[in-house]
Amino acid sequence: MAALDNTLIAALLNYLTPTGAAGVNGTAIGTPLGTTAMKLRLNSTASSGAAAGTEIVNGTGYSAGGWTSLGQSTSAGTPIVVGVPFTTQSATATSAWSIVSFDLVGNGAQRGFWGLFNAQPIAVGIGNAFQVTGGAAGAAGIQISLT
Amino acid sequence: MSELAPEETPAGWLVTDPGGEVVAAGPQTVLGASADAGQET
Repeated sequence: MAALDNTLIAALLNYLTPTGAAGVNGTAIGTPLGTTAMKLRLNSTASSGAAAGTEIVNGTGYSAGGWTSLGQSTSAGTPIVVGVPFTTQSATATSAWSIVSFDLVGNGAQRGFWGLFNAQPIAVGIGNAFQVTGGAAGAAGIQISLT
Repeated sequence: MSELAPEETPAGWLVTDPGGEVVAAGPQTVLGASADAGQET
């Protein structure tokens, strides 16, 4: 199971293969995730390559669309692995959450990577906080590669 | 005899109670776009 949105897979392959006119590599990739800060969306159902899961309801520190201010991710290794988020993200449930998956999205909700949290579903009772660990490269809670 | 140090594996996520105590935690989530490439025949 790949962890990239299907539309983005198509754009990446277009860019990396001679799919353009006269065998030049394609240009479909453009800026598929926009040019402003990305977000981390939390879902109560599983995301897939085709679509995001159902987003959790708002809580304190979480608004529709996802966590913002993820910080500037860093990477390590060859081939590289990128850690997300750089800044620890935390939100407190004001109604019970069952958290299953996430989508790393552009500011306008364009989908990039998606995944299921380890040990999901994660029950977060009212008043409790859910946190995704932030840090540099291998210390972050989500590790992303193309291998 | 010294004990082995626990693995320093970062938690990927945490659930904390209002007092800040950890009530649940899980490992990092590792994503690879070609995670199943080796399954091709």
